[in-house]
Amino acid sequence: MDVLEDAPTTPLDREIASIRAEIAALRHRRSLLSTTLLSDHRVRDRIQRAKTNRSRRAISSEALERVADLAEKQERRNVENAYRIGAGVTSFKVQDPDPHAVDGGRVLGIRIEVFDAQTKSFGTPYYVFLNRPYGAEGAMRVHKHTVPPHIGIKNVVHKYLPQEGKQDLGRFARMLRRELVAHQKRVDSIEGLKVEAELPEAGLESIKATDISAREMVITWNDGCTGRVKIGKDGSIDGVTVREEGANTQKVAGTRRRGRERAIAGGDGRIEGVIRRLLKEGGW
Amino acid sequence: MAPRARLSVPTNAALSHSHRLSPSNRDVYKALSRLSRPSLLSLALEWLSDSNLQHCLPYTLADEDQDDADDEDAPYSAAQSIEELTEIYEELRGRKDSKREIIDRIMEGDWRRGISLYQLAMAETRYVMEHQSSQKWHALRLTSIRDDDSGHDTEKREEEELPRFRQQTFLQNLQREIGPFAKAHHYFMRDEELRISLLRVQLYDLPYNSSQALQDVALAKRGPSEGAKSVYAVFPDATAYVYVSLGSSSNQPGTDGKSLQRIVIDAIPKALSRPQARYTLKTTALSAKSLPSLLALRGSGRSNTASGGWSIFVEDSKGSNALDYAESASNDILTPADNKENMQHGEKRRLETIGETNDVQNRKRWKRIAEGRFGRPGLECDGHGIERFEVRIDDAFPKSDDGKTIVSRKRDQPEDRIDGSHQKVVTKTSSKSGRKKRPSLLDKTQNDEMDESREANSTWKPDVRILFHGAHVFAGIRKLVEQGVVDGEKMPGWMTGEAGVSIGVVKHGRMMAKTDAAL
Repeated sequence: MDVLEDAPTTPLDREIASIRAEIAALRHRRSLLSTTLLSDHRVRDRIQRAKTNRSRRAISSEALERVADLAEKQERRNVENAYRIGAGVTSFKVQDPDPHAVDGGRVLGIRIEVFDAQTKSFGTPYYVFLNRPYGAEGAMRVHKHTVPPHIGIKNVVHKYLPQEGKQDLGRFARMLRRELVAHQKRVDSIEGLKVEAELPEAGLESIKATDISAREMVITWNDGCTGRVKIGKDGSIDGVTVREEGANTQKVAGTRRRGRERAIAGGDGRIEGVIRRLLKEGGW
Repeated sequence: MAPRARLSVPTNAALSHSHRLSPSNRDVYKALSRLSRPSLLSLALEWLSDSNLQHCLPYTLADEDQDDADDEDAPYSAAQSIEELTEIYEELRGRKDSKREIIDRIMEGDWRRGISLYQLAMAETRYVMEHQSSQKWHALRLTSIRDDDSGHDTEKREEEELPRFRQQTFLQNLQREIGPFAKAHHYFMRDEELRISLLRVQLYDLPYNSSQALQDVALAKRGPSEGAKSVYAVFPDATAYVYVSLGSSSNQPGTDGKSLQRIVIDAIPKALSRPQARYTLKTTALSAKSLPSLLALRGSGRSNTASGGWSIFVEDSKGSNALDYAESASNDILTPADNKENMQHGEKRRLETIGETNDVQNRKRWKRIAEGRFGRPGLECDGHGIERFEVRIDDAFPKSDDGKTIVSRKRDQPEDRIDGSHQKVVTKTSSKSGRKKRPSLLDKTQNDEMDESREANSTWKPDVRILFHGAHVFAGIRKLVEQGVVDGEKMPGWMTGEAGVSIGVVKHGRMMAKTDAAL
């Protein structure tokens, strides 16, 4: 019923919308089929065979060329994806469109994949672009990047890609990936906590990260208590305060609830088990 | 025994939220009348909500009984209760009273005893958030002072983290810095959508923090350079950036006001500092009127250093997902990534000079080039505009015999005519000995001068400054590329907004922004 209400009013509009949806679905199906077919090694073998003894077949050579081309592209894509999934960090070459770019506009792109546990897929990769402003043998420098500021790429650059001294691109990429993955894991665990917090016996109203860096989260209880939890980069609990609701004047902070604080920070001291520990604590 | 007059003692404390300004105060009227009718009504309802009520108490019948005032004169009768008042304002939404009438009702009726500082602050911040281009924001960056010291201690540097921002502690510290200079009223607002915290500091030049003193000063001093001065500061989440705007609620602040505002800005990093972690604010050479464009270039997202053509990597369009194996699907859909590739192929081809034939194919090609160079931003409607883009060209003048200039223009169509309403290019050339009007970030430093004298005589370096000015400068340049007025292939990268600054120096064809934003 809801769907119908949202849908466009006139029948013609509805028809257009449904046709559009059908086109999209068909397109998706077509790409899925062609991808599956082209990835199949038997199909590729056949194409290869057809190419070598062309005379027997009635297919035009142009069509065959196209198919072979497509198959090759698909093969490249499959290999690239395999590396992206397996290695997590891949590199590629980019041409800087700026005509005044250093080193003839040669730029090395680094692509860092991070797996998102909620959507069960890889999110948009993070990119770092490096160039060599002091010539082909000179030091590498970060040209552009899409790493959010809270990750602190600057620290990693200072450590592994210093402008003077030895640069270690491999370790740079590994350490940067580590930071990015750590961030994703923090976000994931807070999301996991949210699911657990919905249990009625937990007595929680909400649980959320204060900002996108997921270095701090706020827990509110049904009885008005508010807890602030400081999270370390690796997901450890660095600090926690739980206070009762302040008095009406808002200036006076409520008394602290040490029991809950201990439950949150106790155990293995990691965020994943916060709710479980709180539940075990029981009555406080 | 006569009641003792309440003491007014000079103090460093902040002004209380519930101090009232008299309804005749011009600031109040101005703040309210700037708002649109619907937002005025929702503001009034917000005042009446439980969380704000204690600082925004309206005049009700209960007050009337206490005052036993001659309520026959009053144009509006007092409401019975808060609930009734809420209903009245809900009802007003459906009616067709003019905005003027609603303001009258607020100032002479329900809040006849005055609008509190808290209410004024809410009204003004509401205006700022609704008209996000009403203020000019300067993006500043919090830097650890330790960074500036000569000791490049890498181990210490590694631990550098963003300062933790806690509203109450911050306000306390801020007040400690500002208190001795002026009386201030602080108001914090949180915008969950933009993920920012907005601080408004209103300064009053008076020694006491009592309500009476406030009313006196508001009545006594109404000269052009007096009145309240407000400063806005925006703290985006999870960044070290602070956007500052020197708003002025009443008049153009005089020198006094300016230095007071300066004090507030200087106090911000001090209030965020802790022992062993001291911060200072540094410019990032970017100022713009629209908050979204600042958030895109100095925000907490991915786009800070990847603007211009690089923006395609921020939100990867084609083949972003490593689990996506489809290769051939995008044949018929032109995504920016495709265009990027096309552009690069196009770049390799040598093509005849632009401007001879204006045929469809050229237009298409220009459009493709523009998409490749500018990526996704640089469209007029994206709201990420920079209004003022200033550069100094620090390169030697091109030799006349090769005759090439960076930007080739059609001789018969000056830029102003093609896109006159949108943008204006002002080129100012002056000799080095020429008179400088005022110091600017673009002025040469002593180091520059020394370098120059070393390589003097061989080349001629005029002091060329270019100022791009318009509603959305880079959208304008993009349009010029699409029209074929600016050669999109030879155009230097800084013209695409890649550098992410609004003021900078171009050397060797590249932007040398005086900022550490790009590492």
